[in-house]
Parts: sequence; structure tokens; C-alpha cells
Amino acid sequence: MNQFSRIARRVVVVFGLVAVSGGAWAQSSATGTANATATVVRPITVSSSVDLAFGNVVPGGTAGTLTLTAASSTAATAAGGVTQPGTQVGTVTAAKFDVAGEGGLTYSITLPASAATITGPAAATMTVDTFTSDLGASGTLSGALGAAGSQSFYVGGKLHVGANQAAGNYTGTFSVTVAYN
Amino acid sequence: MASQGCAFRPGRPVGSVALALSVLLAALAPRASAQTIGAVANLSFGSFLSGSGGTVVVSPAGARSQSGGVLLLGQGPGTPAQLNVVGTANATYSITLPANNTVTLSDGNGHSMTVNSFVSSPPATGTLSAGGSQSIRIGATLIVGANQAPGGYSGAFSVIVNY
Repeated sequence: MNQFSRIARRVVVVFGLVAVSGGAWAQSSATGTANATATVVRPITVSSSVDLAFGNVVPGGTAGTLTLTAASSTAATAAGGVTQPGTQVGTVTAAKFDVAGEGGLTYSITLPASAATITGPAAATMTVDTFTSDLGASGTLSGALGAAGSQSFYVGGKLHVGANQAAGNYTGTFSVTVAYN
Repeated sequence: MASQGCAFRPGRPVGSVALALSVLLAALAPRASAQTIGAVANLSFGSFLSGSGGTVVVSPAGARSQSGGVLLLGQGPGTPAQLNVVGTANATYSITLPANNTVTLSDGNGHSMTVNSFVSSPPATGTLSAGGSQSIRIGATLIVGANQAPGGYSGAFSVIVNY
């Protein structure tokens, strides 16, 4: 009886070790999990909401310029033979551009590198150059990544008026380009 | 019956248990144990415009490229996932990455993108250092639809290491 119980105990011990051994062999793999992310951004758009308007200018016997600053309340500076007609300057505004896109992203602003031509009566022309932006060459859309963002900027420029420039209304177009950095 | 069938002597049981233990330890010695694998960096495809659709590829080394109409934005670069494997020193192991069409990223608004072609560095098989660890870097290819809905997309994927 005493010997039998010893045998039984040994059997239990051996089976116990086998069980532990089997458990260790099952620990042969491990799984790790990571996240993956991506951000699809909104396309960037720009549209003009206010025109660049130099208002009424009076030409002189010599050429001159009228320069508008890039601001919501633009400041006009006349030079040379050009003057503004007192308080009757008409509508004088810097151009305003509205940018929409992905919040928080920065973008570049490209202004015309060369002069834009505006045309009046009988094919008379003037030119506008020295375009400036109140944001300089880059902007940042409002808000944060993952939501819509927007920003507006103003553009000023310099109108070149010839000596005895023909009277009339002059119009033309110029383009600005925005692009995500 | 019991006394006749018993081959063991009363004074030997301790000896046989010790023998069994040494056999067990010998069997376990070449096996790796206590492996863990944990993510220390997530896989990011960065920011991009979907355009007419295409792919965004992030390599295990972290290089990002595109195909099709996708436009990558420099201000949202991609990064590979990094997982650390810890286990027995110098142990070799195999790496099992997700199969194609099993991992998707969702924006939570009913839009999704599929992640395919997972690649790892080291590829297929790794070897733990003398200190018992190794870093795995993982890249993949994101399938972007035409005019994919803007937003932040996320999802999870699993990596299995076998010893």
C-alpha cells in the first residue's frame, strides 16, 4: 500500500511536467496590433469676391501712377502726373480673394509676375503691376486638419497712367494661384 | 500484485523526478519563450489629395510615393509602423503580415479605403538581438478612390510572429 501510493505520486508528477511542457510549446507565437491612418484633404479653391478698383483718376501732362495697398481699407498713393479727384475718388478697393480647403494646412500664393493690361475706349490701355498680398507669399487655412478651413487675403497693385491718358472706363483681369505647400 | 509490479524502490523517487525535470529543461532550452510584440509607432499614409484616385505607398524605410491622380502633401508626410519584438536572445522567428483586402481604414462616416501589399523590414524572417529584441518596420499600399471623401481615416492591423 505504501509503495503503491509512491507509484501513484510519481505518475502524477510526470503527467504534471508533461502538461507544463505542452503549455510552453503552445507559446510559440505572438500578435501585435498597430493603427494605420491617412488624411484625405479637401481640394484647395480660391475665388475673387472683391475687384481691384483704382476708382477715378485724373491724368496729367506727364505719366504717373496710383498705388493701392493690400488691405481691406486700402490706401491710395498717387505719384507723377496722376491725381485723385478730391473726395470723388469713386470705388477704391484692393482685390479680395477667398481661399477654402483643408483646415490647418499652409499654402502658397502666387501673384502675377508681369503686368496686367486693362483696356479702355478706342483700344487705349493702361497697365497694372507690382502686385502685393497682405499675406505675402503664403497663408494658413483656419481650423484644424480633418475639417474645412478658409482664409481671405487682399491684393493691391500699381496702376500706370500715361500722359494725357484717354478718358473712359478701363477693365482687365489678372489671376492669382494658390497651392498647398 | 501491487508490490510485484513495482519496479521502483522506496529510496529512488526523488531521483526520478530530478531526471524528468532535466529532460524537460533540455527540451525547452532551444525554444523561444516569453515573446511579446508591441507597436511603438503607427503606420501613417500622411496627407494627400485624392484627385482621380490611385495609391499611396509607404515603405518600411519611411519613403512615401504615389500613383495615379493622388497628390501628396509635403506638410503631411507618411511614417512606417514600428513594432518591437521581445523574446529569447538570438531566436529566429517568422513574420506574418495581413493578407490583401483584409485591412480597411474608415472615416467613421461610411467611407473607407483598403490597405494592401504590407511589407516589413526585416522581411519574412527576423532574428532577435543578443539582448532579445528586434524592431520591425512595416509599410503598405493604400488604395485611394477617385474623389475619395475628405477626412481622417483610421484602422488597425495585426502582425503575427512565430517562433
